[in-house]
Amino acid sequence: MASAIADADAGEPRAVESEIERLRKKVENFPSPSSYARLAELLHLAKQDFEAEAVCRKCIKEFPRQAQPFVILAEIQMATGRHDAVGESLRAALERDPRHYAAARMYADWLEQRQDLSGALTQLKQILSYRPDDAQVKQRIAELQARQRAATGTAPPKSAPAMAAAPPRAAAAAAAVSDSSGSRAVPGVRRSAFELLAGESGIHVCAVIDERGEVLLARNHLARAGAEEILAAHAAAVDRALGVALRCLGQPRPSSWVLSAECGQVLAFRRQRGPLLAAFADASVRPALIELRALQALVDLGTA
Amino acid sequence: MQDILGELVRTRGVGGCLLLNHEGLVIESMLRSDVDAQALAAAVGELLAAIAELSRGMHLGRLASFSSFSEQGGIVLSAAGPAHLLVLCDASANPALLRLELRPFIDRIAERLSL
Repeated sequence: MASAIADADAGEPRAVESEIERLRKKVENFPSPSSYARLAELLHLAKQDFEAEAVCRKCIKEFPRQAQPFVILAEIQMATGRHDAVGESLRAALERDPRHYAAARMYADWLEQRQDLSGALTQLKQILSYRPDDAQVKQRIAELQARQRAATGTAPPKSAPAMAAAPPRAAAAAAAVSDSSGSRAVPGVRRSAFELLAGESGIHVCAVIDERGEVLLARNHLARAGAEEILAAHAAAVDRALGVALRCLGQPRPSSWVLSAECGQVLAFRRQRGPLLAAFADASVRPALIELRALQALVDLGTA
Repeated sequence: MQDILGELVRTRGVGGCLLLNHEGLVIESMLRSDVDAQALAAAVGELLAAIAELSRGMHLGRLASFSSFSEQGGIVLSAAGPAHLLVLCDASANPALLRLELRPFIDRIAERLSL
C-alpha cells in the first residue's frame, strides 16, 4: 500500500513522514492512546512495520486496557504473514472491548479463513447483538450458513435469502472495494480500509462519490434506505461550491472538508483528482481519527 | 463590527474575514486587497445553500461550522447569529486552536447583530 502511495504521489509520503515526526514528538511528550494508534497506523501505511509494531507494543504497555493497539498489531501481523499471531491479537482486542466492530469483523474473517465457520458465525452473531441492523453482517452470516449447509449436504431452508445460494465470497467480493494495487496479503482475510472506515464506531453512512454525485461504493448503517445517495448527491454539490469559493481565493480544491452540525457531521476526503469519500458520522467522532482510514481507503481504491 | 473583525484578523493564522447573510450578501469584510469581497460572498452564498441542502437531507440540524484546510491554508465558515462568518486561514494556522479562538468573536458578532 505504501508503495502505491510512493508511485502515485511523490508529495504524499513527505506529508506522511512529517506527520509521523510530529506524532513521534507528541507521544514522547504527551502520550495518549489515540496518538499512539495514529502513529502506528501511519508507520504501517509507510511500510515501517517493525517500528509500527514497537509503537503498538509500547501503547499496550502504557495503556493496557485499550483495544485499538491490538487491532493495529493484528493488521501488521497479517501484512507480515504471521497469521497465528493475528488471532491472538484480535482476541486480546475483543477481551478489552467486546463491542469493537472492526476487531470483531476481522476476527470473524480470520476464523473463516481457518475453516472455523461455526466460530465465525458466532462472532458475527455477537455483532448483531449490538448492531442489529448491520446489513453487511447479516449478509456474511447468510453466506457462511450457506457454506455450512453445502459442507454438510443439508438443503437450505425455504426461508433462506437468495444471496445465501450465491458462491461463498461472491457477494462479498462484489461489494468489496476493488484493490487495484493487489496489496492484500491474504485475500479474504485482510479487510479493506473502506470496510474498516465504514465499520468505525459512530460512522453511519460512508460513500465514495464521483464528480456527478453518483455513488461508486457505499455502506449505509442507517435504517433509512437511500441515505447514501442523498449524502452523495449533496456532498458532491457542497464540494463543487467549495471549489468555486476557493478559486476566488486562488486556492486549489481541498483534500478534505468537515461540516459540523448539532445532530452530526459530514466529513469528506479526496486524494488529488480522485473521487470524494464522504462519511456521515456522530458529532462525537473526531475527524482526525478517521482521516487516516479515509486516506487508506482511497489508496486501496487506487485513486490518484 | 469593524473593530471586532479588525481584532479577529490580528489573530495568528487568520488572513481575512467576511461577514455575510445566508443569501451571500456582504455585511462586513476585512480581506486582502486582491480578493473581491462581493464575488467571494456570492460563491460562499452558493456554498451555504449546498450546505443547507446537505444538512436537510441528512437531518443534521443547525449548522455549527464548516471547515476546509489544505497546505496553502483554508477556510472556516461559522454561524454567527443570523449571519455567517467566513474566516480565511493561512498556512500557519492551527485549525484546532483557531476554532477555539473564534468562539468569542462569533459570540460578539452574534450579540452585535441581535441588537
